[in-house]
Amino acid sequence: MPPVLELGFPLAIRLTHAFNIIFLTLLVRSGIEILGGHPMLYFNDHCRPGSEWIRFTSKRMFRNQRWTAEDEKQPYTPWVALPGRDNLGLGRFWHFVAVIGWLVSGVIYLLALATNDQWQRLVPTSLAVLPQAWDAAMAYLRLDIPRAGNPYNALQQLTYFALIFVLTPLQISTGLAMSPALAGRFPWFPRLFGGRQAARSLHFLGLMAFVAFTVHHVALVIAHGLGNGLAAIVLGVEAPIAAQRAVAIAIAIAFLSALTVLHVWATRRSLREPRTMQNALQRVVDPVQERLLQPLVSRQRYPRESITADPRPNGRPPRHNRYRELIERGFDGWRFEIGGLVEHRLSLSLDEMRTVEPQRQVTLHKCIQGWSYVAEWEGVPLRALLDRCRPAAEARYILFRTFDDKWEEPGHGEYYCVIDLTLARAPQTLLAYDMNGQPLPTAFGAPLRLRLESQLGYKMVKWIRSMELIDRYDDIGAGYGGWRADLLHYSRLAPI
Amino acid sequence: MPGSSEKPVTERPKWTVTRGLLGTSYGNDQASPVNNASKARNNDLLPWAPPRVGVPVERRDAWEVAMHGTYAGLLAGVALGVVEIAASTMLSDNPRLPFDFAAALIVGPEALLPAFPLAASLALGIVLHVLLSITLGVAFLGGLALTFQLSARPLLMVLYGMLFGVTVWEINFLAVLPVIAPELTGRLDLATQFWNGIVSYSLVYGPALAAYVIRVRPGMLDQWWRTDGQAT
Repeated sequence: MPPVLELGFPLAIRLTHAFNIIFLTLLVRSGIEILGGHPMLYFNDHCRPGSEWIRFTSKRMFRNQRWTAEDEKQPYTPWVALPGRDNLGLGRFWHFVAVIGWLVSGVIYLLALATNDQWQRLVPTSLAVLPQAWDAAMAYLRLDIPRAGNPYNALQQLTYFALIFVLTPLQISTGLAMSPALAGRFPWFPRLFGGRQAARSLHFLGLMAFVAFTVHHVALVIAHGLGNGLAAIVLGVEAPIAAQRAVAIAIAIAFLSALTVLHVWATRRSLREPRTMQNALQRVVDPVQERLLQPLVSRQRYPRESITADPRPNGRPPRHNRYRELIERGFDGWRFEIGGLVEHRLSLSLDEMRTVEPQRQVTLHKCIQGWSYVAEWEGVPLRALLDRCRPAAEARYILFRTFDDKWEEPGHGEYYCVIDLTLARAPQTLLAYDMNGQPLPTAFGAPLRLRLESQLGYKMVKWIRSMELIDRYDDIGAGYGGWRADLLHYSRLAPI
Repeated sequence: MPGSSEKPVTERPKWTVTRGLLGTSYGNDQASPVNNASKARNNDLLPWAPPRVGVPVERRDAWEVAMHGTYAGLLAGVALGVVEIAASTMLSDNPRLPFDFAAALIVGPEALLPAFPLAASLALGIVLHVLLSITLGVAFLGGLALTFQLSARPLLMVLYGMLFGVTVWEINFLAVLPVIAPELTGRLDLATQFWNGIVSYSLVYGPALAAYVIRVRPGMLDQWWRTDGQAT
C-alpha cells in the first residue's frame, strides 16, 4: 500500500486553476467568433462547397448567381461569440490574447506540478491505475462515489492526465498547424494531422472536448460534494469545516460574477469601441507573432496533381470604369508603377513583367476566414523588382495600391496593403500574373496579385495598380497598414 | 444579358435522392458529394448575388422548436420508458422499478419499498418522466436550432442524440441526484443502472430524439448541400 499523499492545493495551483477558467472561457467565445468567419469544417484542403463534414450556418450559396467566400460568413450573437456580429478581426485578437494568457498560466501550472510532489496528483505511476479506473467507472455507473484515491481516484487521475498532457498539446499543435508561416516553413507539420483543414477540424473538436470536460468536471465535483471541492480549490483546505465551505462558496460565486462582468465588458467594449480594443489587444499580440512567426520563410512545394478545381475567390472584382476598360483591352495599356523611396522609378507593362525571369510555385492559399485551396502561381519574384528599383536606405515597407474600389462597401476607400521589406524579399514572394497555367482570372486579381506564402490571404492584394517603398505607414488610411486593418480591425501581420 | 442564364426557382432540376443506411446520396448533377456552387462562384457570365446573402436552409421559430421538442421528447420518453421497464423485468424481475425510482425522487426512499402503492408509483413516475422527457426534448431541439444543426447530416444527428443522452444521464444522475436525493445514490445494482441508465439514455433516449428530427426536419427549409435557387 503506497503512503497516503497529502498534497493539498498550493496557491500556484489554485491561482492557475482560476486563470485557466478565465482564459478558457475567452478562448471558447472568441473561437466561436472565428468559426463564424467560415462556419464550415472539412477534412480536405480544397474546401469545395458540399465537402464539409459539419456546418454552423443557416444558409447555403447560389448556383445561378456569383458569390465569394465573404458572402458565406455567419454572424453569431454576442451572447455566444466574442465579440459577435461578424467581427473576425477582434475575435482573433481576443483569441490570441487568451492563448498567450492560457499558455503562460499553463507553464506556471506545470512548473508548480514539477517542482514538488504535485505531479503525483496527475501522473499515473503504475499500470494498476487501469483496473482501478475501471472500478471507479463502475462505481459512477451505480450512481455511487468511488473510494478516494491518492488523492484522486484512478479515473479522475487518468482524465486529468489526458486533458493536460494529451488534449492541451493537441489544441496547441493544431492551432499552430493553421499558421501559414509555420505551415509554409514546415509543410510536414500540418500533414501530421491530415492537412490544414483536418487540423482546423481537430482544433474545433478539441474545443468541444474542453467544453464536454468542463460539463462533466462540474457534474462530478457536485457529485463528490460541491462545498468540499470548492474549499479545496479555492482555499486549499482538504477537510473544511462548515464556515470554510461557506467562505469558499461565496468566493466562487464572486469569482463567477466577476468573470461574467469581464465577458460583458469585453463584448460591449469591442462592439462599441472596436478601435480602442484593437489598439489595446494588438499591443499584446503583434509583438509575439512578429517575433515568433513572422520571420519564418515559406518553403512549400505542393505537387501539381493537388491543385484545387474551382477554388473559392474572395472579394468582388473592381467595378469602376478604368478597370473595366482595362479588362476589355486585355490589360493593354496597364502599367505597374514602382515608386516612392527608390533610386530608380519603374513603370512596367504586363509584357515587360513577363520578360523578367519567372518563378512558378504550387502552394496552399490560406484565407483568414479558415478555408484554403491549392493553386499554381507564376510571376515575378518581388526581390527581382526590388533589385532593379534599388530601395533607398530608409525604405522599410512596401505599399501596394489596387484597383479595388470596394464597391460592395461604399465609402470605405480603395483597398491597399503594407508589407515589410523583409517579407518582400522572401524566396516565395511573387507578383503573380498566371494562375494554374492561365492568365490570372479577374476574380483572383487580374492583372497582377501578390503572393506571400507565409501569410494569410488578405495580405495578398489583388488587382494591383502600383507599389511604393515607404518608411512609415501611419499616415496612410487610418494608419494600421492595410484596408482590412483600418476598417475591419485585422492585424497588419498575418502569420497565423 | 448575363442574368438571362438564371433559372427560376420553379424550374429547378429534378434531384434523385437515395437514402441509405450511412447517409444520403444524390443523383443528377449532384452525383459527387461536392456541389455545383463551385462552378457558379467563378462563372463570369452570372450576375452577382447580393452581398452576405445566401439561400436560407433553416428557420428559427421558438414556437416551432417548442412544439416539435415536445413531440420529440414524448416519443423519446416513451421509448426510454419501454426499454427501462423491459430491462428491469429481465434483470430484476421488477417491472415497476423505474416508476418506483422516479417516485422516490419526489416522496423519498419509501417509494422503493414493496408496500408503496403501485398506483401512486405509476402516477408519480409517469408524470415526472414525461415532464422531464418533454423539457429535455425542447432543450435538444433548442440547442440544434441555436447551432444551426436542424439540417445536419443524419449520422451527425444521431451522434448529437447519443452525446445529449450521455450528458443528460450524467448531469441528472451524477450531479443533480446526489444534491436533491442523496439517499438514493448507490441504491441500484450495477446491471440495472448500466442498462436503465447510461445505455438507455445514450442508445435509446438521445437517438430517439435524433430520429424524430431526421424524420420530421422541423425548421429545415432546404437541403444545404443543394446550391441552386434565388436570393430571398
